[in-house]
Amino acid sequence: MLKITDLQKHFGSFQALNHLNLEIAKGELFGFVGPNGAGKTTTMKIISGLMRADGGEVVIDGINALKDSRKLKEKIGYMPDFFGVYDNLKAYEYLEFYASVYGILGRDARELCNNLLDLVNLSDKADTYVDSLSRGMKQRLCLARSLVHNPELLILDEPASGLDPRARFEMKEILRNLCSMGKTILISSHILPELAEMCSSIGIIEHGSMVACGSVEDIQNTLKTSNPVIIKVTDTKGLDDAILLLKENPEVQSISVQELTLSVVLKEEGDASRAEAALLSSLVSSHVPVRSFYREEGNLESLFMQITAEQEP
Amino acid sequence: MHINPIYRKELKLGTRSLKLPMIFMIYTLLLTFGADFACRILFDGYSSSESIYANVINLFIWVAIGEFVLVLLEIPAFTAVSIAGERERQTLDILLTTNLRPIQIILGKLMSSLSTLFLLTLLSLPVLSITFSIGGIYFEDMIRLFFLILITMFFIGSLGIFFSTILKRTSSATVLSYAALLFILAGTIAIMLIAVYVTSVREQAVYLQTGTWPAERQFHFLPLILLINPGVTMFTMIAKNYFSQSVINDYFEFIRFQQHTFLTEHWFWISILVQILFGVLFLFLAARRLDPLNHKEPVRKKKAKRRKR
Ligand SMILES: Nc1ncnc2c1ncn2[C@@H]1O[C@H](COP(=O)(O)OP(=O)(O)OP(=O)(O)O)[C@@H](O)[C@H]1O
Ligand SMILES: [Mg+2]
Repeated sequence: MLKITDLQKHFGSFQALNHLNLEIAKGELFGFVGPNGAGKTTTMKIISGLMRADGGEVVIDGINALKDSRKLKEKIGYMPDFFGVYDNLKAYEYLEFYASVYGILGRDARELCNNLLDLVNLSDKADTYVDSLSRGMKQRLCLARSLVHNPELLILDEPASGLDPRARFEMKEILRNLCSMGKTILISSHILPELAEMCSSIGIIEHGSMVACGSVEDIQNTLKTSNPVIIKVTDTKGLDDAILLLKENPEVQSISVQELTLSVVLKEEGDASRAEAALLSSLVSSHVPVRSFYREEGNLESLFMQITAEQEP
Repeated sequence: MHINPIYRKELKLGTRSLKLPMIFMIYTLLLTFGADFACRILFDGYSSSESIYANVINLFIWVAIGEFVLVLLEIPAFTAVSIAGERERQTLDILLTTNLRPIQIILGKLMSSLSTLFLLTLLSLPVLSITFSIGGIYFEDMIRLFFLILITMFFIGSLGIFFSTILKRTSSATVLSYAALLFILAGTIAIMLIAVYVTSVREQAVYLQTGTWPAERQFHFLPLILLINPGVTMFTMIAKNYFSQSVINDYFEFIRFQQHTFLTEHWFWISILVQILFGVLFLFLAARRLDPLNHKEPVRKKKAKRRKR
């Protein structure tokens, strides 16, 4: 659906995007994470035709977005990170205006707007003036607005920023809902765990280039191998047996013990999951009373820190 | 018929704000008082029908000029906020991602400003009809006046939209539009006065040295800048229609530029054509500039960084 290759953009001598690559399949909910100034907004603006790129390619549905951006306007719905609304317009009129931009008028427009307001749970605010809506409501309204022309690709720049937890949850629901309707969504955020929860794939951007990209599991897995395997046994005898066994195992790098819990760091070579399985079966076959055995989950927040820190020059 | 969506929205917003009725009220009040004042001065102490007849024409001229000036002064206020206002309100980016072409946005804005302004012009009809009631002024005069005002609105309005597009802030766009208007109205005339003064001083110097006046004056194309001055256009129209004078011809003869040429004979229509062309040019440039893919971002950062180094 969307393929970005070698995208470049500089402002003066500042390189905002540095050979950015990205591919999003149709129907995916893609999360775009990165620290401030990483280039998320810049990328999204280029995709939606609000900014020129200095090099590289953006292809959407087989159409070159940098050359034929006109054709793509119908296919893309864009929601900026900061946006304003018109005073003196009611919520449904606000939507009707954008519908009229796409030539949807009269009864069709009215029906469409009602549906969209329903979709973002704003039906009860249809007759409220948009400038008196709360920030979260405006954000939902803007999301509805980006849907008036039924685009296939949604580009949402930090749609959940400034929302309270409940509104965030609702926003997530709406996005999942849209995704199940077959839309492809590119969404940016600073908060990795939040994205990981709802997105099918994630790209982490830093200093204008992609540092990690793939499904949430993949990203977690690549970083998980450095985490220790946690083994819990039922009694002290089992603990001693386990320590003996582990010390003989060549795969084991270090062991630390805390009461009945062993924390084992494996050597980072070869297939990590196979090493885990071999370790578990050796423990079990020696009748060590293992109560639980798992690889410590990477904390996504620390993962984010880790990835972005590695890129510091 | 497919109405420009921007135009439709602007009209809707316009009818809801308090700004418009206020402007309408002030405008009509000004015109009424102006006309009343003119009536008192013109008809005071006269009784013969002939003098009344002559003065009706004077009244019409004064009201027309007053109206022209009022509209002229209002155009930048209306148009300079159009695009910069959307930018300030952070609604422009959204508009640009819709399938509206930049030129449609520009035209929608221009049309909404112009229709509001034209409504203002129509508001003056009751006042102007005072002159009708006495006679001596024809419907033609009215049409001609409205036509001229419309062209001027288009020309100056396009200029305002142009500044509104290239500048980020409504305040700077407004200031620059008024500065440009001042240049067009007064600056062009000042340039001509200075040019004539300088040449005559130079001629005098030549005369003192050689004892003879130089035969030819060299203005090149400088006097043509008066073509963009709607004030001059208005003035020539009034002079021609009510005083049967060809002021441009007289003036060009006076400064020894040219006389009885195609230009001086058809000054009114040529200037209108020039102003329309400039208006179209401004709109075209504004539309180009509005297209994000057509222009590069200003490279202010680069310069700042270089300075640091
Ligand atoms: N118009 C511009 N002129 C100059 N520099 C710019 C411009 N727009 C963005 N930049 C620079 O490009 C870099 C990337 O900005 P961008 O807005 O894409 O970051 P971001 O990832 O969206 O950050 P945030 O998380 O804060 O929204 C920043 O360093 C910024 O200063
Ligand atoms: Mg951003």
